[in-house]
Amino acid sequence: MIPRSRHRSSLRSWQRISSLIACAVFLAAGSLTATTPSAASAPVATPHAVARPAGSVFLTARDLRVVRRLHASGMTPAAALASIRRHRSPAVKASTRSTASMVPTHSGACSYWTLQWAPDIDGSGRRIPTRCGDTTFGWTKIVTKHGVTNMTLVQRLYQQQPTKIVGTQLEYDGFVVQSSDLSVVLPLRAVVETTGFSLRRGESSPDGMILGTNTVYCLTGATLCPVWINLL
Amino acid sequence: MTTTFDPADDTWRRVFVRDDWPDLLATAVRRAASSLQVAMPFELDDITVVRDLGEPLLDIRYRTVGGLAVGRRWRASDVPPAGAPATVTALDVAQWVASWIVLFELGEPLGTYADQLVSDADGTGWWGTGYPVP
Repeated sequence: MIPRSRHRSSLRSWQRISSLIACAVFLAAGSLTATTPSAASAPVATPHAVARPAGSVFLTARDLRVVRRLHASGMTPAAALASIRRHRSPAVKASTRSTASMVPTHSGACSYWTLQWAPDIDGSGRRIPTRCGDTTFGWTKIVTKHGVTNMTLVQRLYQQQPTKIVGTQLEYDGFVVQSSDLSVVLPLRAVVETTGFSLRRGESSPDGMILGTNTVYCLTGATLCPVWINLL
Repeated sequence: MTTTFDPADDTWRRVFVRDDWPDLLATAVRRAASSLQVAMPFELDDITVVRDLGEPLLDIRYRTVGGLAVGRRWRASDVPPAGAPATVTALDVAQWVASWIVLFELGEPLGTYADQLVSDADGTGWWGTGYPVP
């Protein structure tokens, strides 16, 4: 067994590295005052820290950087966010779905393989299904465990290229900001499984696609995604 | 012998009935916990192999970022919902299962489960299926 002191040591090392990475991400996002996405140094928006917000907006790291610059130059939060909507990259505009695709494609019967909505196409052209799954996988897990109930959030995460590729998994990172206060930033992550065979169930996906969305969670020190992130 | 993994070949399941499988998995979890980057850093306190329910189980005790003492009981025969081992060797199967446990069980925010933890006599809050009844 590995000594506990070694675990603590490795945890501290990880936290140091994590903090450095978090600082780099936010410096790149153009804000020295932003809260950090590192779970280790938590105090980003928690459910208790935010009272009755007006709503939220999903932003990629690039969008967040631009919005922050516009806001720093004197624009109101609303004007900065409106501007970013007008000037989003063509790729993002092209992949933005109509609201018609944002409703479940199934009629309520939710089995493991059932698609929760039509597969998303990510910024690299990958087709990513989000399945009903169960408490350990897919939309059921996202809702019941992590409190992400707005499927638009997931779809927006996929409007970019993967932030990281780890083995058979893809990670997509994004940010949700409060419309009324751009300093309230909540990092969000989606994890996608790219294999098409479920060893647990001993079967391939019946539609021939990959397993797809594994989970989506908030990178906060808190244990819950705040409710306001769903108010897109 | 190392063989490229073939999903249609389920011989990898044989490792689950090996006598040393629970210990092999526990070792792999410890190694993964000290090497993988996770969304929510945690401190692994202890892993013990128990047989409360007539089958080998891992009692994994850890602490979240905020210092919350949490327990997750994992049946040694449980198969992760996704992914696959690199090869059919016992070590690779253990690494696959351990990676899932560390990345998506221990290293993820607890989310709504944080409100549903079942405390044992030591004050550890357990979640998931098959946790020790207090």
